[in-house]
Amino acid sequence: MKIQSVSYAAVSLLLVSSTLLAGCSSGTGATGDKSSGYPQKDVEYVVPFAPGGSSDLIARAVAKVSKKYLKVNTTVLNLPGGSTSIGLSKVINSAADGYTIGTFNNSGVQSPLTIDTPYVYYDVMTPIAQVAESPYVLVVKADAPWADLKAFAADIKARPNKLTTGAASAGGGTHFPLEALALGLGSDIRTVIFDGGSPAITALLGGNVDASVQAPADVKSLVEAGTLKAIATFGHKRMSDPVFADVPTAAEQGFEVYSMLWQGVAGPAKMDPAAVAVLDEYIKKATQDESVVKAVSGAGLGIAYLDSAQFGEKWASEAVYYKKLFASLGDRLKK
Amino acid sequence: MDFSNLVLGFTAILTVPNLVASLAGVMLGNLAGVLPGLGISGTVAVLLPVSYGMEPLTALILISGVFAGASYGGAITSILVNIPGEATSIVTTFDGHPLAKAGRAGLAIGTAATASFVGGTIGLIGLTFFAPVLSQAALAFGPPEYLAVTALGLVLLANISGGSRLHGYIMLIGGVLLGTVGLDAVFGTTRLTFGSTHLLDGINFIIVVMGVFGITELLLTLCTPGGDQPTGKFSLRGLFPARNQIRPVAAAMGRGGLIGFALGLIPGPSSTISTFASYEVEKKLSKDPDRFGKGALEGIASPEASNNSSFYSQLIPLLSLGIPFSASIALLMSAFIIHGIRPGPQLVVQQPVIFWGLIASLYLGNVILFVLNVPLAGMWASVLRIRFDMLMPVITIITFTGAYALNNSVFDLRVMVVFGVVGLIAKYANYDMTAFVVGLFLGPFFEKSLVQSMVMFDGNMGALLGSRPISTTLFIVMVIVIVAGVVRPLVPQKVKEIVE
Repeated sequence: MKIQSVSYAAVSLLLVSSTLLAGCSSGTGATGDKSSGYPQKDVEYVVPFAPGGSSDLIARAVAKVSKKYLKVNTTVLNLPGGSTSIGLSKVINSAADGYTIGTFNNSGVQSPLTIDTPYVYYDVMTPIAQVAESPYVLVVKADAPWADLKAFAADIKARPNKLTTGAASAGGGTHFPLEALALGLGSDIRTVIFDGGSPAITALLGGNVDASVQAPADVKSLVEAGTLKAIATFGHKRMSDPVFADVPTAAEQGFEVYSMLWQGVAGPAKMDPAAVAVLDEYIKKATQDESVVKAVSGAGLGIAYLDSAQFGEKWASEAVYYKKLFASLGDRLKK
Repeated sequence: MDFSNLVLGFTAILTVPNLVASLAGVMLGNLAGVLPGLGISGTVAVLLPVSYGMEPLTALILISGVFAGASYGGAITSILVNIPGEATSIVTTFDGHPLAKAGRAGLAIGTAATASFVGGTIGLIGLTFFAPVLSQAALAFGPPEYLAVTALGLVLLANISGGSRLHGYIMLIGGVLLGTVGLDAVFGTTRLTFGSTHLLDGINFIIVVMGVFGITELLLTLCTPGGDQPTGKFSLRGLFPARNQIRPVAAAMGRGGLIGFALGLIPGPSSTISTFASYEVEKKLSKDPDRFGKGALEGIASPEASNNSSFYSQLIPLLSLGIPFSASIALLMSAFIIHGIRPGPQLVVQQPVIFWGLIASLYLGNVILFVLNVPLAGMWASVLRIRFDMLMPVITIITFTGAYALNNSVFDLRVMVVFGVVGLIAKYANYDMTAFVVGLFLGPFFEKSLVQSMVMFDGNMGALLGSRPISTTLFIVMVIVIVAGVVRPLVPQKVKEIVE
């Protein structure tokens, strides 16, 4: 039986395309000339976070249009916990046939470099496509004495280890930017680690910390209301959202610090390239679908489609950037 | 007081879809509360995609109804089978289950439902009239204050269920230690995981609770020949408390409602803390504290009222600041965001219809839940008339399904069974697992706020005490409690009599 199905697969592979070099899994168990057609059944989409977060909202919006663009249903499975290791491990340990995919975000590159993770995710997973991204922003209370990042940086330099910042998690995109800034200034800042963006904002509003790096969605209404002010974004260019459009990037203000939050889709190692191509095409169409665009902006990000190859290059280049950055920060991220 | 806003809200919700959404939301929430494990997050995750096509207000009424309903339903399994479906209904097992064993489950459930209504009403009134003022007060609560609250909580609650003080503290410390398992939130290092990915996130609190209360109870039933099927007839009269109990129970509901409302404003899992705190308060106020743990109605009334009240006060920071103070409220916030509504200081100004419509729907939901739950008390109570050898397998299946549904994890089921056995051993050894659960719950928050406070004050405890009056006061209370606990047994009986 096994030999038979493998031979079916081999024949059909030859027939369909000479570019399919990697796998013969697409034909296993299927019959006749249907064997090459991916997808044949529903796709499972693992979200390594609890329901309700931005990752979950985006994944569900993308999954919802899969009947339209992928011709099969995609079901979302939330496997939260272990700083994404539980959900990502499930994807990594699944068959590389394209029927199990998962959300992959910036922490997939950062966390293997800062905490003990079971896999180096960006090395062992197959990039499929990026969906959305957004820079992190630096916020302070509206009545704080710093008008911009330059003033804040001058104060960090003048008063080493006196200013405090609240981060949403240890070692992540809300933690390292100000530590990197302080390092560049030859000074020091005290980072208070909270579990999530909201507790850090609460502490900022209550005057328990002086500043906080946040996902723009989490502080948008408070910036709009004039309770908080954004004094820098950590992107490569300014944001298009009108609330943050006038906020200069850190680089504009003379500090080369970048911290982006991005999200896409990835699969297990050595995925069938045909399935990757089909999934990539589906994500591309999904990112142009009005309902997905709305969900992504609702979650506080902007659509930023990258194809499989570009997404893979991004993982590699960010890994190099963060490796260097975290090495220079050393113990600063572990205090 | 200005009622025009509320009138605006009620006008907005008087449409067929909104009324249906309110009814459906609270009923589904109620059911989610009844089924252990299948909590708010699972239900909301299913409903969120369904709500995409709805009007924003209708969707919010539906989703927030789930929250209101769940805080009613959580008490049912706590009382009937000693399995708390949510962390907030752990305390309800203390007196609820003994009552059920005595054949008065209907009374316990009826009391819980009434208390939920009273607490909910207190919370809603606070939410309606004091939201903006209170949200500012809530911000005064930073890591140093949280540190003091959790420290005081650990000291006070070690002995929550009575019995030996020494045993209580041993179990409490055990719980705190177990709470350190997993990825440390501050330093990013793994602790006591032995290389297991499943342990990275620590031991799931609610799974342990389902183990040490639910599975232990099932095992105890197995180990008791003949079982302890409650006896006695069920009558409508049995649903109501004796006349002389009404006043103290009503007072307990009022106190619980106020405690829940005040504590709900504190960032963090304050709903659960408020149920423990209100139970402790009732015990301390009671002339006859020995009744607690054996079926005291105040022990159900006060925590259930505080649980419901705290839900509404938790909405205050969400609606007026746009910040969810707890994980479950964060889920509610995502329902807002999906529908393009960003809760925050601007919400009431820019979208008064949504803001007041939501609040009006919560009043409506609270009444619907009360009307639904009081008659249902008798029905739920009669579940226990089913023969235990038939009922227990069903409960076992529901418990396991619920525990699995929590994180889709088989590992969690193993943890639950292990702690069921641990709970059984502890029971026979006369150690009480409640203190263990308290330690497991408060320990991680204590540790986190300790590290955060130390970073804030650069390791200087003196500076913290000097500049934080709230936490200093709480620490002084804690020291007094400890000193009193040590000194009191040393004072000779004679002196005590003279002093009194």
